[in-house]
Amino acid sequence: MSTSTETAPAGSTVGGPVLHAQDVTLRFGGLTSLDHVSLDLYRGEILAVIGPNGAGKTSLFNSLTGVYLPQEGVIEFVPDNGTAISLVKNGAFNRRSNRKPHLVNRAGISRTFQNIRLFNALTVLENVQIAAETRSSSGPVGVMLGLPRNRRNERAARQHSRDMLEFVGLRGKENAIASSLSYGDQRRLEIARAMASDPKVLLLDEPAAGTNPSEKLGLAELIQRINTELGISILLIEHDMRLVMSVAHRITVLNFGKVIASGRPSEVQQNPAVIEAYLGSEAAEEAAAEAEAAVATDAVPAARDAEPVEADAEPEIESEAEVDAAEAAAEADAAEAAAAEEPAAEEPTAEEPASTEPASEQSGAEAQAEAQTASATEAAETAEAAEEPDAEAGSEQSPAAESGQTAGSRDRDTNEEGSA
Amino acid sequence: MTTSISELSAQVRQLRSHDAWWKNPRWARLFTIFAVFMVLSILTNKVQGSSSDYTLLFKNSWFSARGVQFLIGSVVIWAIAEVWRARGLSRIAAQAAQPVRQVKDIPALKNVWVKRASLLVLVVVAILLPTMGMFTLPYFQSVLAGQVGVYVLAALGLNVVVGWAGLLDLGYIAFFAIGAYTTAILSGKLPIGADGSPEAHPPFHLNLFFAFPIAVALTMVAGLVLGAPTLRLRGDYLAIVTLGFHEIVLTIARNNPKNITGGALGATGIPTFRFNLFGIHYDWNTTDSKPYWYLAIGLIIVVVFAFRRLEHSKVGRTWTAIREDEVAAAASGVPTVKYKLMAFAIGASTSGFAGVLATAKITAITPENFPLAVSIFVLAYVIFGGMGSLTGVIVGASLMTFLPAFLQGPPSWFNNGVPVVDPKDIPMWIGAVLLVMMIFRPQGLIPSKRRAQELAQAEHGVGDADAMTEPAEGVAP
Repeated sequence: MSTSTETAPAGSTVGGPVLHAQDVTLRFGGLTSLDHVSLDLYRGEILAVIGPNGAGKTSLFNSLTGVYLPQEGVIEFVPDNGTAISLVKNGAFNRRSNRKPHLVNRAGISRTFQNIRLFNALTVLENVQIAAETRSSSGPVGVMLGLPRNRRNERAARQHSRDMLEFVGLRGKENAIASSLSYGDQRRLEIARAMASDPKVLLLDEPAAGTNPSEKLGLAELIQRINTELGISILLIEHDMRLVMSVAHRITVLNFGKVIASGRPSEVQQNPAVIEAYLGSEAAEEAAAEAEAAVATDAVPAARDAEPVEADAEPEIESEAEVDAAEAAAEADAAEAAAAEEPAAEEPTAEEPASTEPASEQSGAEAQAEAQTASATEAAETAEAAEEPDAEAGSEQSPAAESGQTAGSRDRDTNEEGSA
Repeated sequence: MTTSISELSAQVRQLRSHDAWWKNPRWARLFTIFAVFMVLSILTNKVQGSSSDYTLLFKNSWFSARGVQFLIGSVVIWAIAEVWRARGLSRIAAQAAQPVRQVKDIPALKNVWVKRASLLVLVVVAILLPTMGMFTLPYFQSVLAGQVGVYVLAALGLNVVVGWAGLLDLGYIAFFAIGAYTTAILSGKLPIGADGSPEAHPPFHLNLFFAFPIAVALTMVAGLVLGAPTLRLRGDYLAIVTLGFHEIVLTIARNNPKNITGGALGATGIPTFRFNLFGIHYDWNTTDSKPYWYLAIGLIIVVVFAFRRLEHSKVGRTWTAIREDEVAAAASGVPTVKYKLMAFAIGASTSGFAGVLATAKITAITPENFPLAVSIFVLAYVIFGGMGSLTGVIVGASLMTFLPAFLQGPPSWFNNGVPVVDPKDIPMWIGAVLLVMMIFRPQGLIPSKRRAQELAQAEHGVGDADAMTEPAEGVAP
């Protein structure tokens, strides 16, 4: 493991960006999956990308790794020697091109997948070895002739794979069939495979999805070890806020394909735009009120309860224009939700009509709502004063609510972490 | 709610038990077996229909002593099957397989040297085969050399494409044809002169052994030419494209551009292999098939050794990875297009290799020697034997090429010179064998470990047995 000798400036941003994305826009027909997303991953840091379902996180990964070609923007990878490698660029005659996935990997960026994609019929060792061997120079003719060089290459790759398996904690399971592993072990195997090609940057797409709490703890530890011991910069997509808050140095929040917030975990937790993206402003208000009233209430039921309340709340909105805007936005949202990849995205969006107010403007959370917000601005401005402090108050609750899928107990934990 | 479920199931069970007696599935099984036997009664009947009595065949097959025999036969078979079923199918099967498993578990058999020795014994048996039993007949020697040897070689190549890389190739015999025509051209029998004038001056007059490397190179190029633009396709689409490629090659052969292919007449009188070196002179004689068989064995051994190394190397593993999940393979740094092209080129060149051997044996080729059916048959050999398994493919191709020839039988071989099966019916029987095979043993006779694993997983909904589906992550817009 050559990389283990390198020193890793854990948590620091002094190294300059290792992965740089500028104004990346990706559209699927009329659906804008990524909208001018800019993002810098600094050398040696762990950057988490969070956002509600359908926010464009995986699309971002696919754009970074050459699976998708974004219509606009450039992506660059800056390896240690300092010369930037273009992953997505504007070529001659405005012809856009991207590096193919295997070349992105060769450059030094590895990834894992949201839905585990292992070579299921192969053994654990073979899974990793395939990735490790992409760096060996053995060709088919040499193999058929049985050249000794190939045997040496193979032995080296196997040893490297064993090292990687030991690093992720799969020692002793080398000869098991990949699909026979437990879910958590499969996640680890995928990480080992991604690391077998000696990457400088590791993209982890929801590594903790579907794992149990103890496996999550192990994963958090593993991610930190990869970062500190091997000096690999990590870009992490994750829904589990506890994991994100415990390992990430910085967090970038995506919503509807736009970056709505970016910064240190504590900053992001208190960002009103983020709270709105996850809960909707009404819900955030409700949650905040609940939190003020009772000490240990579940944020999630509160957020759910907020939905019927919303209907009652609407008459309270003074201006007629705002009501119209809210209705139009609701329609747009419904269309958007239908087009969105995951039905789960509906929950935050359904609550959104109430958020046509200032926060959505400054954050740009709703691209569709922009047209309506123009007419609603006057009314919104009046609402701003009243809105702002509430959102602030609700901030403590918000990231914990995790788009309404977590248990209340964990919310309390996250709150403690957030305040700590 | 839990109690109600058990109650419900009890009710269902009671309802079932009160069903009419004829709804018992065993009667459905009896009917099925009876129907199959009635069809068989017609199929195996020597009586032909006549224009004066359209019902003659049915009367003779069903409403006669013959029909009664088949009826009794079907009931007996059904009764045996029912008893078998009642005693526990799996238990009996496990008991029957017990000795086999015991033999497999003998530790001595796992020794590398024992394996090598048994392999050597097999090769020796193959070499001595033409001196044994019915194989002393020239007919069977000819079958061995011209059918078994050639198609085992071809199937080995197709196994690389289909079995290892997971690319469905239905135009595989096109490369075989390219190899055959290359042989004809290099041996000086093509192109025939303009307007078929006998004073043609073919550009080459080479010893046929030189046709091997040239044909291999040419078919490899042909494989790359076909593969480069089409390998972005997957599964069914690739199959259709290769089908088209086969037709293109055949049509070129028929249309005889610049008199290169000799049109529908093809080439005749192609010389055989000659060896004239170091004072040793040997001529492969068309009247004796044995030397061709030995040559085929030699070539097969070389190819098997090379492919065995490929299978257990970086290349083989990478092919498996591409077959299982192309997106994940690419994300792991595998240049997928390069490896798919490699599989195509290796498969195509093996096919060309076999084409040279076949041409030297039959000494005359026409476009009709390479119909689409042969492409599909070779694919069937691979699937029958067990995709991805070298042993399986060799066994499968040998059986499937030998059996039809055996059933047709040589004149006066046995059965008073009457073929066991009407030669016209052979494809039908082959089809039936394949059907039964695919239903009861889809992994093939001797499956490869990886393939068997994939099939088992596909049945449980984990992954695909083939790289036939679109990547779940989608493709670039």
